[in-house]
Amino acid sequence: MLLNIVGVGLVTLSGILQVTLAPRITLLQAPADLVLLFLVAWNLQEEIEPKWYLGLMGGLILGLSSALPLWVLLLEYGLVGLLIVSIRRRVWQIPVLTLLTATLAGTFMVDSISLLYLWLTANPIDLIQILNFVLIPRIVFNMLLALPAFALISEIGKLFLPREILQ
Amino acid sequence: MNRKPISNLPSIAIAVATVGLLLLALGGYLNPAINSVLDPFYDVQGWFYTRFQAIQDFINAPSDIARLRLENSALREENAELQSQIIALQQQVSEVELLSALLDFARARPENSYQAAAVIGRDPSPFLQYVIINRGSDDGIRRGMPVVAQEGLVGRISAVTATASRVQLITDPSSRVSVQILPTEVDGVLSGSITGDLSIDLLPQGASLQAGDLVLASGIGGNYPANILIGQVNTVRQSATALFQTASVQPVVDFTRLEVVLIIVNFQPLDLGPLIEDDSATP
Repeated sequence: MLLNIVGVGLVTLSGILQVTLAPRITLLQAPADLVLLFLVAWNLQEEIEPKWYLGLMGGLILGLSSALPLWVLLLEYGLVGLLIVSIRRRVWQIPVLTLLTATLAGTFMVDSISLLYLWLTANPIDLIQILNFVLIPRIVFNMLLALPAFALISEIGKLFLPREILQ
Repeated sequence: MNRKPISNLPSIAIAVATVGLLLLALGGYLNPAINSVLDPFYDVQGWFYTRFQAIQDFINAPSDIARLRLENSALREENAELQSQIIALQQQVSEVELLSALLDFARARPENSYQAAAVIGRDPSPFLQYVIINRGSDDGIRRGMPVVAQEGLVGRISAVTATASRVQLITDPSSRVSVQILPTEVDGVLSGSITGDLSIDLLPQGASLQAGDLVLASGIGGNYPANILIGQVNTVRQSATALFQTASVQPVVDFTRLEVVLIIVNFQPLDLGPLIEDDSATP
């Protein structure tokens, strides 16, 4: 119960940082996706039961600030939550490769759905520009931050885990 | 008869010698002799004084160190406080400069009414260029109102809540602004892009444009007021086979550092939607 509350609190915090802090630190035109990084790092912790609905929570927080419709963000991050949980269930342990794979797949999924929505609503899309300035840099940026985020979330999780689980 | 002149002789001799010495001293003739006596004396005195001072310092040292440490910590604390005051004052100065620049902008256009707002966030999607500001419908903000900074045009309100609004920047890929280029007075359409670069399309082939020409909102279409500065023409691309020229624009507003903006609250944007729907409904 406590871990669920902590998870919801942290996804809210990462959503707020995503709107305020992340746009100021970009790789080319791409800010890091802090909500995605949190979802991956939290749901892949061995001691923590994965919760896919934290993705919905992240989508809700971002949907309050984004010009994209709320349902698009709920769909994006809800699917990311499901993706990470399914990866977690299929992999016995959590090596670095799984962490990076989840980050890569999650970033690609979130940005693809956004682009698909923008394309369907007749927004001008320059795919070359998007690939060069947003999509690839964002994947690289997220993967660079995945390991530190995992370590950070691991340390935060330990603060709230019951003592017998840690032993 | 007893005569005693001989007994007074030493006294007289001493008196004469004393007077003589005084006269010599007053004349400065005794200085070398005095110095030769006093110098060793001063040396000895100095030797004793420094040793005594060292011993006294050694004895009193712990209390002095404690006192110095206290003073040091107090000074450090004072220094830190002053540093924080300096930072706060610098921030205040930059805020005042920003606000006075905005005030200058507002004074230059007295026909408009403005509402100042602080930028409190950005759109989390990297494909969209929107900012969130801390003024909403409670402050009289409505959808479609133009937003400016002290340098020039920023964008327009795209969504409003009670206490906050979302502003579509002119750099957004789906943003379109009717512009006029000075001094040639050629009209075009300004659009944004994913990278935040601005470009003007639909420029007539015959128009002679040059780098450095000013780009202003033309007011055509009714979405933005006229004559608000947007930027300068950077490069012009002309092709013999194309119908129109295009030009890239260097914006005057630094969209990455937007902090405070002004909303023009008395501007009524034109809603051409019903006319467009009527046209499409006409057989």
